[in-house]
Order: sequence, then C-alpha cells, then structure tokens
Amino acid sequence: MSIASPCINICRMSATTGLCEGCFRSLDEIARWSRSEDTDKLRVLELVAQRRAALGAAAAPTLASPEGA
Amino acid sequence: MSTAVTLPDTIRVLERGWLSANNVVLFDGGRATVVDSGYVSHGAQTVALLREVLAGRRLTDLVNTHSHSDHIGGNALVQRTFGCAISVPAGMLPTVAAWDEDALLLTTAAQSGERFHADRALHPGDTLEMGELVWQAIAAPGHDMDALVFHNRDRRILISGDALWRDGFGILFAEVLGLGDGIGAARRTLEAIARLPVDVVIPGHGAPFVEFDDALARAFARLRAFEEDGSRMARNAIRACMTFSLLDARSMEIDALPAHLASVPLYREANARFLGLTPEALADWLVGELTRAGVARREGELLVAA
Repeated sequence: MSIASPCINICRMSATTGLCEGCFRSLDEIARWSRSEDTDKLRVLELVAQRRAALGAAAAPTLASPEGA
Repeated sequence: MSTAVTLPDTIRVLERGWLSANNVVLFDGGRATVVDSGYVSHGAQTVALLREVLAGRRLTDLVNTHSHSDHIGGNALVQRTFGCAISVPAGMLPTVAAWDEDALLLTTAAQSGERFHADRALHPGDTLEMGELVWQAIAAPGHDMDALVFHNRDRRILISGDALWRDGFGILFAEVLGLGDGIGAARRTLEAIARLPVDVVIPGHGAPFVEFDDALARAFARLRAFEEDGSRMARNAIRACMTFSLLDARSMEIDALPAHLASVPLYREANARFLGLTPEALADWLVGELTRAGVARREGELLVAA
C-alpha cells in the first residue's frame, strides 16, 4: 500500500505561511504528492513534522477564524 | 513501500482527503479538463491547486463522476473562476437543474453544497477526449444510481469515482435508505468493471493504484458481507457519513448526537431499517467506534475530529 498522505481534511491555504493549515504542505507538495516516489513522500512528511512543530502552536487558533470560509 | 503509479504526463491526480474527492486534471495542449471538484468548504484550495497544475493552461471543462457533495462541491467556484463548462451524468441533470437537496443527498446526509449550472449531460457509452486520450463513459450505479466511470482502453486506465476504491466503495445510499437495489446495482457495476482491461485505477478517494484484481476481490467480498448482514452495511454507512460530517464540522457536542442521529434521514433510516437501536444507544456505539478508529477523540463534552 502507498504511504498515506498527511491530509487531515482542513484543506485551507494560509495566506501568511503559504502552507495548508491542516497538513502544512505547500501547493506544489500537495499537487505533486500522487506522482512522488516514496522517498520524496517521506521527505515531505519530515518537513511537515518540522513545520507543525514550528508553526503548530501559532497556526492552531486560525482553525476557528473565518478566513477562507 | 511502493513506487509511484505511472500515469501519462497528460494526467495529474490531485489526491485530496475524504471530505474532498480527488481532482483528476487532464491536459490537451493549452487546455485542460478536471474530473470532480471536491467539497464546497475546500473550494479556495481546489482553485489554488488547479492554478498550480494548470500552469497557464485554460480549464475548459469540468466533468463529474456523480452528484455527491465531495465531488461537486467546488463546481460553482471552479466554474466562476475558470469559466469552464460542466458536464454531469445524464441521470443527475434534472436533480442539479432543480437543485433538489434531498435527491443530491445534501439534506439527507446533513452536508453542504453550492448550486451550479450544468451545461451538458453525459450518457453511458459517450466518449470524452481528455488528456490526449479517448475515454468511454460507463454506467456505474450502486453508490450513486446515476454514477459514471471513465475508461481509457489504450492506456488501460479507469477513473472509478466512488464505484471502486483500493479497499471498498462508497456508501450504497439507495440500499441503506430503502430507495432501490443498491447492492444488486453495485454487483453488476463491479462485474462490468471487472471485464475491462485495466492497469491503473484512479479512484475518487485515496491514491491511484495498480492492484485492480485485489481491489475487485475486496469490493465483492464487502458486497457479500453487506448482503448477508444488512446491519453491517448500515453501521458502515452511519460510521462513514458521521466521519464525513465530523471532518466538516471539526467537532460535535456528544449530548446533541442522539437528536442528530434521529433527525438526519440517512441515520434515521439506516437505524430504523437495519438496527432498531435507540438514538442514545446508536450515539454510544458511534462515539466508541470513531474514537477507537482514531477518527475522533473526546474532549470533555465534545467529539473532536482527530
């Protein structure tokens, strides 16, 4: 089976970070996901984990904001 | 571990999640077609992703595999943004034209959508040119009685919508709601699909896959299980649809769940026809299932999407 995408169904791009508020991927990373080799997917998952750690606390409150609604 | 499925360069699959179906973008020189548009609340990201992969090409067409909210939710915004024509399965054209929210399963399953104008009807047997390939539209009733799948014989690719996933298929709404022979239709659809030459499946949800035979075997096994035990089908439908709603709303009050389950037609009918539980017992079961599956967690009085 393929490596699961980090999508958590929030699917809203942050204007400040340029990353999805849910999965912390860029548009390019989301768009390329299904064509990526496993090594690339694992690299993106690592980046996602780093970004979540760095941005997670700041990004969380925007879940309740009307931005992108 | 697996290597990426190889698709022609003229096809880009935007793999989304469960609330939004995948968007399949197919290039024909300077123009492009997208199959399915995701859920309404994800519309802005859908448009941004389309711009990213279009890279200046013109999106002239949007095609829907079927009429559910996670496949048509972005239609209106995508059409407004790109000015594309929308083609829908012929069977759903009157429903869309009248914007019948019951028939579109929006009210039936407590989901949201945005009204759009469909320009063309697609019939089983029609051919479409997308991604420099010729696709045949094939009737795929079951999950949605008007659904179509699209098959390309040369490259042996199937765009399967929710008729066939890597592990299963979409909720058999007609069967659960008592409106038609969803199981029989789904079986005939799977049998028809099984006769097609297919090397790669691009499903409505999940990654494109090559394990066509195994996916068919799993789907047939699930159908048999549903046929032998309707309660299993009903529980599956309730669990899947509540997962969808929870991903949409992000959280729900646990105390309000029994009333929700008693008022939304899908849950009410599934329970009345196959389970016969009190709304409270159904809610208890559901909270247990969703938390055990890791879909949700309890935070005080709230059920929160994980």
